[in-house]
Amino acid sequence: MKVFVVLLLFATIALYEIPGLMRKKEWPELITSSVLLAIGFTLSFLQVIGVDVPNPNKGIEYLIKLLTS
Amino acid sequence: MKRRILIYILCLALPFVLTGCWNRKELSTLSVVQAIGIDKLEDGQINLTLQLLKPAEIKGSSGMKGGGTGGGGKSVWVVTVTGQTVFDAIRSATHQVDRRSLFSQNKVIVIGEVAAKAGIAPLLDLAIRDSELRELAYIFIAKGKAQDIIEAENEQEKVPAKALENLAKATRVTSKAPEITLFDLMKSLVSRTSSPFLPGLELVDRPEGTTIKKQVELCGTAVFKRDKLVGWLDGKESRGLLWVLGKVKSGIIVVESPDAETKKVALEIIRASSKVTPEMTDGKLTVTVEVKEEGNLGEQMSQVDLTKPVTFKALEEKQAAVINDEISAALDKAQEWGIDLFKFGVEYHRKFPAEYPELEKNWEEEFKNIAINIEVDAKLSRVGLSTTPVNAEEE
Amino acid sequence: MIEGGKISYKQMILLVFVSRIIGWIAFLPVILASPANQDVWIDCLMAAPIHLIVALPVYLLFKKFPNQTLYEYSQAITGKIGQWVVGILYIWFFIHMAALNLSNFSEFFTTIIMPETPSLFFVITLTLVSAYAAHKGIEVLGRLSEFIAPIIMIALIGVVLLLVKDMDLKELTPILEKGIYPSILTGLSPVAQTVEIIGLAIIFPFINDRQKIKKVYIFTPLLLGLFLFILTISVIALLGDDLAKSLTYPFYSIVRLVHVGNFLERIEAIHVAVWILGMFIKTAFYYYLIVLGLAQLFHLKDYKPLILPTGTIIVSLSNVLGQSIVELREFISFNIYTWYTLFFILFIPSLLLLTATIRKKGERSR
Repeated sequence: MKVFVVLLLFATIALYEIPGLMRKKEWPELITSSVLLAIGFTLSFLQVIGVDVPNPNKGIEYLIKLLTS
Repeated sequence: MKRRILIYILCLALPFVLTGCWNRKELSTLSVVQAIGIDKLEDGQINLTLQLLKPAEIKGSSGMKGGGTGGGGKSVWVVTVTGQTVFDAIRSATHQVDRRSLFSQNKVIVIGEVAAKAGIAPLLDLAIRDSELRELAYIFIAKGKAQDIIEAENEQEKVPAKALENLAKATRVTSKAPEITLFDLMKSLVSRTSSPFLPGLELVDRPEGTTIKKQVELCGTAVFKRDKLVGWLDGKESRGLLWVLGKVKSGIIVVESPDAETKKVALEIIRASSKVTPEMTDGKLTVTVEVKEEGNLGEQMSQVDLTKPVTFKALEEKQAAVINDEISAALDKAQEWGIDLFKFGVEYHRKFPAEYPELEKNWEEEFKNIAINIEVDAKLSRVGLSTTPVNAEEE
Repeated sequence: MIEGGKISYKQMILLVFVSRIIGWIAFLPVILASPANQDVWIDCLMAAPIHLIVALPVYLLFKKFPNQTLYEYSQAITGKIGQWVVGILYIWFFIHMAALNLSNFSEFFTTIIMPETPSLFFVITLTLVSAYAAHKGIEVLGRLSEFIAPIIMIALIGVVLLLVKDMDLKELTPILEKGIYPSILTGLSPVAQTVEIIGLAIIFPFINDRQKIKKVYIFTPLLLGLFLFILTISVIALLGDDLAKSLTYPFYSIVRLVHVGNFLERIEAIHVAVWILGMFIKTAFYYYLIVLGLAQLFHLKDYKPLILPTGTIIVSLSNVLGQSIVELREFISFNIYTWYTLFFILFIPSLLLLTATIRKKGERSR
């Protein structure tokens, strides 16, 4: 169910953005927004199917503790 | 055109959003909690007593129409539940109460004596943590069981919790018990040196023939060490405590009349303030408590003309002596117990920040050994509508 | 030109003000920052001067490159590769900040008002509204903040005035118990939270009058310092520092304490309303910084197609960050968060400024 909702959501966004850009032949815009959308999709899809996405805060915390101590 | 259609669709969709969301609470699905009583049973379980409002009854029987629809019905419903913790007990209440309990209108929290002796902080954690309970609710300690206090009815008020709330506010008139909200209590519980105190409530028997057998009455101050109840101050000592803290708002001071020792004179406290000055010489701690008070001649039962400079002066001195006596009664008891109710520790922190960490470590002993000077400056300003009593003796 | 809009210096100050103050009216983390005693109000006085120092590199960089945003002049200073490194770092930083912001938003809501509502609902709603504002560009953001900032100021000052009668200024003593140095260090904490300093490096070129930048540079810290001081002093004077430290939302807790007579109480809804308004501006501002950066970095003609895709990243990232409130608090604490943000708002700009000076790039400032 959740997977379906996420797929639907991202499909809607893609359908809303891509045709206009294709028509105007704005290729750089199209590539950038597709890449961003792909990142967003990966992040949300992984969460929806139950994969533990690593928390970036933990990495930053580790780095800073390493540098300050 | 496309745009316009989109806007129309959005407008049509709006009402569905406006109806509310997950956490909506309709009045007809709620039971409004007015007072909470917390007791501890022998096996360590929490016994929770909730006073729930019955709105229909209140509407039916209040105001001019009295004796109408809901004449005989009670306007509150008292529910008692048991649980491992307070929250657990609250949720267990749903096995008896069909509606969801709403705590945001809660006026009073009463804690039983047994529970208070075991420590009040764990019992109040929920009240502080949960966003539904108010920090401005009044807190009392029951002599005996909190359940009895919550269950007790009141002659005047349809909702007994309202009566308890008014009792808390009425302490201003006598200053013989403190007025403490959950917020005040949180502030004093967090302190490392000073200890909290709360007003007490007890049930007293009423004369035969009245409809309500027992009545709730204010009785002095419950005193805590950290969060555990250790003892009680009576009315006089409670006012002594409030004098030092500068929290006396009003009250009556009864003194013996000059020139007629057996007759009494009542002086009304109009305003009072206090100043605590901590001193430290060679590691010896001395605290000076200065209390300034202003009063009126409220009533005299003697026939002496008191409005002469000499007698007025004598009255002021007697008044100061009574205040002094009240303060030292409270101080003696507190020092005997080693409980800093007067925020002396805080005052030392403010004046001697460098030495304070050392003092804090062993504050209980330090507090017991503080030498205290009491200075009372009591004035009388007004005499009321009459100067001499109507049946004044001729001189 | 990607952004054709211009905003006035007042709008710029207010934009930063709203975006910053809104975090403080919920968390007020300065209370928790190291010596953490009754002296925090002195730390708040320290904040404005420290802010001026920290924002200096950004200001000087603007003097050298008055027509360019941070993303653009990093190319002029360090070349193509440098621009990519700096650009990606900052875009990550703003995405991270926006996501953090959204998790805070949903945390506040689920704690205070609607504990049963899924937090994703709040996050998505706010993101959509902010996306619309960001879509409309900097001019709309400026006007919005000019409209909303007075509402926030009046609400905050009104609440504080209602509470004055309950305050005990003795709670602020003893003064400087642990000396002045911890206070200066703690003064760094609210400044380090002011991510908007680097946000200004990006919106400075959009001011309508270049001469007024100096005013933005000077008045922003003063206004923020003043309000931080008012907030902190009222929290400490009402609660005392010990209690304030143990509360999740100190300022919200004191708003709950407002009671005037028997008729004016329970006005915390005002706090919530103000919080939503401010959060909207803040999220939209961060949002705008991200999409503008992306567009400038990839040399796009327009940033608008990037808005929704970026939104999906922010929302899903905020969901990752907000999973555990305890971990989130650990990250926002003084020891971690301060150094993380200082790296971006002070270290990188200083490095850029140094390189620009050595390589003699940009206009000579007179």
